[in-house]
Amino acid sequence: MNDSRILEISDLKTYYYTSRGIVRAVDGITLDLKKGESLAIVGESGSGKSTLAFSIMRLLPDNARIVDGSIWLYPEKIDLVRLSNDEMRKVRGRRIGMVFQDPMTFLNPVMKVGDQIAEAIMYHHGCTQKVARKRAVELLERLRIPDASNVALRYPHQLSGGMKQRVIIAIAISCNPEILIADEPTTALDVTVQAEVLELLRGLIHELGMSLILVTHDLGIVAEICDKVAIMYAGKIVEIAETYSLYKSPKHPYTIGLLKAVPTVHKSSSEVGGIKGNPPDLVNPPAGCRFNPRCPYVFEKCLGEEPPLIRVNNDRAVACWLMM
Amino acid sequence: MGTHPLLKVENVKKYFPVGRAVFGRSKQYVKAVDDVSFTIDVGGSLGIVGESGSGKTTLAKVILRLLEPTSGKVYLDGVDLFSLNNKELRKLRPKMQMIFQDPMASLNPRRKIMHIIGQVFKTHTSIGDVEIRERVVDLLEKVGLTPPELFLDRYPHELSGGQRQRVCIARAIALNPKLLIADEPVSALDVSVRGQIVKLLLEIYEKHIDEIAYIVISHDIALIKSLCKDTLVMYLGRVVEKGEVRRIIEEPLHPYSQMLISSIPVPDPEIARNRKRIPIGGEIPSLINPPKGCYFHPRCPYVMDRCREKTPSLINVDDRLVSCYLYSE
Repeated sequence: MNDSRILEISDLKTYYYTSRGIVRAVDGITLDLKKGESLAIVGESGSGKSTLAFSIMRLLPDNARIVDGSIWLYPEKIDLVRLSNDEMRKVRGRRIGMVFQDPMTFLNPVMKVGDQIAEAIMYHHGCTQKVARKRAVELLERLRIPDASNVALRYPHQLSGGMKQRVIIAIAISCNPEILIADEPTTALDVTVQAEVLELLRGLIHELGMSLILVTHDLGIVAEICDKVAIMYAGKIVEIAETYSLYKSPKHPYTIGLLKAVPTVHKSSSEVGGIKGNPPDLVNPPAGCRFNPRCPYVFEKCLGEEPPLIRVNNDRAVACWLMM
Repeated sequence: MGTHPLLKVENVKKYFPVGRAVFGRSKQYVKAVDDVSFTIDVGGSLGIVGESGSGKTTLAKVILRLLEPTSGKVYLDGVDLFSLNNKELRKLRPKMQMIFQDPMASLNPRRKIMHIIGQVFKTHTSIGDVEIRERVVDLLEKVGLTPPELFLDRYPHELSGGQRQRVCIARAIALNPKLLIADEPVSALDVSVRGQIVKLLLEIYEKHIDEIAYIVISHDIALIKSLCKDTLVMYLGRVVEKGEVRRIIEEPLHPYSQMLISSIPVPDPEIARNRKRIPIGGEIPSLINPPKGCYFHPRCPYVMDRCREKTPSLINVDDRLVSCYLYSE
């Protein structure tokens, strides 16, 4: 099923150059995304998950650089890492859309939301403002915003958080991208609103046949909408698996710990565990397996040599010496 | 476990004026906390769960008199907190402590840990420097910052988020408080670290169960469940349901509780994708102009005529309190 591939990342490395040294935020990531598939990238703050998302969009800050690797976009197999800025601008929005975490910081506060949606449509399709505005209202309706034609004329501060996030989603899907990247799309929202936005996202990717990359720290959200999950730790993928089997039998000690660390309504308090220690500093990550200082099963080999990501069966790969 | 009420909250209200006119008094109020009552016994633990704007943090601040109440009464161990003057209140402060959401914001960035915790003893006791040091070392050990000597001379920015929250907890329990309020104690922490802090809070609670009342505030009912026995569910400043957390999760009675619980993402795809969902309508209304009658009626799937007219009062249903007309005759 190789031809259904839509994105392939191979050995991607994105480093930040800071006064403290080089931060290896994404350090050799390889994964692929199929058409219509929804993939979750799960990790804690500092694991490099957002840097990975921003690398795909080539929206990195000035002190960050993709130093190695490729991001192939299919079917033409173009390498996004090597595209010129002009060419990249045609990919962004048109072929890959992105939904950001905090809706307020990514909307223009002095521009009507309808016009903000129309802007992208005009840029990519070269249509008139009138047509684009009409399409913007349609999009808002599709995102189940009541009284959409009126909402389109409002400014961001006049809308609630949930509404703003829906406007951001409308902008992201306005040009029917093949891939939608959502970076913590519901973190800034209340739980009841979050459930609604997730429901909406799930419906949209089905309807439009989009592929989704969902970046989050919340394993709960992942269970709701994703087919496949990649767990990131300190710039590396430590486990990647199909959603059901990952939750049923996590293999990497970090995944096991992460699933235990979150209190859930179905767990008793004695089942809530935790992982000892703290996530490492990426300027100076531990030698060998980066999880070794926190791992309950650590042995000699983990201290010296870094475990590669090895496929253990059809739908799972794990980077842990215990699996070898 | 004792049975006499340690904390008694009676009809507490906190209204904030808004839209103040240039002359004269403002006529509009945000009813951030609207008529909340409950008691906690010695050894009791109560959760307060609600979304942003539900008034849960305001309620905590009013109970501690970090905010002046609009009306109502709060008794801590029989003492009427709202009748105290500043000096009396200051004397009582060690007995009621709060752990805040963001540990970085609640620790002085220019003071060492020794100073931050030691200050508590300097302010409220007359013990000498040597003993203070011993006590601080003791406390650091108690909250799992070991070896303590390693932490005494560090600044907050040199610690991780989880370690900073441990310092805040150490400071809060330094003078054996009778009332401990934790406001979103793990929300600012990394996921893998949350479990450790939950465990620590439980440990401390169990160790002091004979003398303490415990309130945990969170938007996350799962966290409340792992820390408390009972909980209030708040919506727009009012209590809509009160009862045992476990029971509320199993069988929420108020339509808002039902919606809240069915919205929580469950980290288990089998449960997550097969459970019954309560259809969600609309957004949280503005507190400046709340709907008439039951505040939840514009979003409620079971809304009836009288919900739009008059606010339902809290009534006993089985093992809990609910304010909903679905359960009254």
